[in-house]
Amino acid sequence: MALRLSNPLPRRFRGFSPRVALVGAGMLLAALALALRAVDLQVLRHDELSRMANRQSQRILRIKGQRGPILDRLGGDLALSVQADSVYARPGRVERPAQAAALLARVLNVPRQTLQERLSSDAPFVWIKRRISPEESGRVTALELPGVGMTREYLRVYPGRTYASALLGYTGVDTQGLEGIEYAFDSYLKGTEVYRVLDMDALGRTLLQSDEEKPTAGDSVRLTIHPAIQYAAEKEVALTVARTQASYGLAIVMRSATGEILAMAQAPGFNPNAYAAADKSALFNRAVTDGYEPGSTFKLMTAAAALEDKSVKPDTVFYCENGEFQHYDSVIHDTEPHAWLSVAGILRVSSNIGAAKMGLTIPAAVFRDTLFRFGFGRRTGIFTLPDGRRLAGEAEGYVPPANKWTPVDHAAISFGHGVLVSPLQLVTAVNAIATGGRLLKPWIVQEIRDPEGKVLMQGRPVVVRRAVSAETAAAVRDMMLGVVQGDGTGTRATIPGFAVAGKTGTTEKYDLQARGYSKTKDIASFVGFVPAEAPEVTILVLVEDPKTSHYGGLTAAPVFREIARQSLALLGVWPAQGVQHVAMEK
Amino acid sequence: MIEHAPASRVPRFRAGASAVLVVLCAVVVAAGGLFYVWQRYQFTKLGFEVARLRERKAQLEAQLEPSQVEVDYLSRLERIDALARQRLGMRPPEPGQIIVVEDHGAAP
Repeated sequence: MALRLSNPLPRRFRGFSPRVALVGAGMLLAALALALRAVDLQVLRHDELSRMANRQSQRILRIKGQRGPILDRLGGDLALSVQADSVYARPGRVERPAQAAALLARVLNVPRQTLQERLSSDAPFVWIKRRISPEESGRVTALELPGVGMTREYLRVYPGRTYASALLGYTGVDTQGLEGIEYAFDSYLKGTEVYRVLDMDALGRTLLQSDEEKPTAGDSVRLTIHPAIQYAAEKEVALTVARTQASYGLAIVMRSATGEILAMAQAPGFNPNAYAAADKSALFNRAVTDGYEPGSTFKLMTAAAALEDKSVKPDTVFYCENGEFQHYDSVIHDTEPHAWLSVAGILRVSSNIGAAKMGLTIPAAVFRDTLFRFGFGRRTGIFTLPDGRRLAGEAEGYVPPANKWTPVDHAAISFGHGVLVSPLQLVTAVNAIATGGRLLKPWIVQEIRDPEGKVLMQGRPVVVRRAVSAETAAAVRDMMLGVVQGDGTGTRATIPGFAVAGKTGTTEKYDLQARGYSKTKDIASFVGFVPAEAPEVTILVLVEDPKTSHYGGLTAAPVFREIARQSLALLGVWPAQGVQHVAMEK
Repeated sequence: MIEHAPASRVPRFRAGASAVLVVLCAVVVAAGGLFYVWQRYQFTKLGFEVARLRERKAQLEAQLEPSQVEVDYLSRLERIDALARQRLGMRPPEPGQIIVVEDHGAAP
């Protein structure tokens, strides 16, 4: 049967059989289905599928700038950051995880089971081991394991190991400052970080990134620490801690005229390169972060406050009750019985009874105000920046409000009980006596520079306020000379050729559990400055819980002497006699 | 059976020219496509090479850093003190043994 089209097809389509038309229609439908599928994939599920694709072909990497170094005053490295490889894996691309785990465990010294769990996980990215040694890095590269790669991170290194460890502190696994200078100045040291999207091919190779934003390195922080004085202080404190079987010891060396810290030593120290293994009590810089009852060294403040208030004169004498004084419901004891003692005598033999009676002559409000002017009960500002920003990590101490002082409190505070001070506060206050009554702010950062070398901050001496008059300071200084002479308690601090001004301290530790002062645990201390007539260094030595002798004059004073002797030599300060001076030959 | 209207005549030379034009266009498009693919290939290849060289540069720089750490480690005062005492028999001078050499002005 012939079919005649009423509207014939154009010539080029004439001759199509219905079969061809059917196939054409089928193909059209298939094309339509493909188009719909394309719309589904490209439009409707675009976001979801893009995310899936990116997970497989892209990796977001957080890149931190190199952490700035910490330097001593001569530019020596105390802490620096070096690059190290970190091994990661993309578990989805790891072939035979069990075998890969066994190989990696052998070269990285990580438990095989741990690695196998990580390599078999569903996570798109897992760390295998971070900051490995160059040798380990070479061995991992040689394995050529698919799905296992390495990226470069920074490793914080402390070349001196335990040297200045408590002062420097340490950083965490992401090189963030966790303690000490690392923590206090973290905002300067850490630099910037950027997030970079890495495109990778099917083999896990990184493709070129055309618009790489680079992180900025951190600033360098140069401290006022004198390397040799720091070493001498650490060595002497460590020797004494070992010899006396003390729980810990510390020393602060301050340049008297400027308030800059030349050394801040603590023993036992710890290795910040492996801080996780350290005794937790060694991790804190107790010179700055701890408060303690200063004991007899605080009698200097009592004498200064009494002289400043003119409630006593240097030649005023007090009856010291022959060693036992009933004061309200408490009894105050002296180590040795004394009858009448002058103000100088009270300091020389360190009479608690004399100090209490002297302190009781000062109105509580006046006494407390003088203590405040010496800087007690408030932070010294060692971690305060010139713009007023206060960095974390310094103890405030505690001086009770004057209206809460009972007569017993008043007497106790006079010989250094019932108040909390940090070692840094005490050495700063005693330095005010060395400088003629001017309280200098302690400072430990000489300068901070950005990576281009621009100075961001420069340390300088700052007079906070006048603590006491020059006359009062001179009078107390003269009394301190007596402590290291004759029958004084601090004669072991004597340095041949130099006049030493100092004060011993022996404090019973407060036992929180027993709710009273311990009869067996003490803090022995010595604070002073030398040469007394023109002070160069002010030094505090503190030894906690020494087992051999708990007296500051026996335990801490010799350490003061050794540190002071070496510090003076290192600063080029020589005694007037006993040293030969020759002119350099031209 | 479908009956067709009579065909209009197309000059043979025009049909041949069109075919040549189509082939030329196809060749040009194919060549352009190949060039584009080659260019992308070269870009990717060079990208890998640049990334590899950057990595190598970083590795070489990183190799210098341990040397600095080594210098710092070897020059630490604790070690120098021990070496001075043990190998050279040095000790701190007594007060009478100290001679201070003073420079009273620059050399002429």
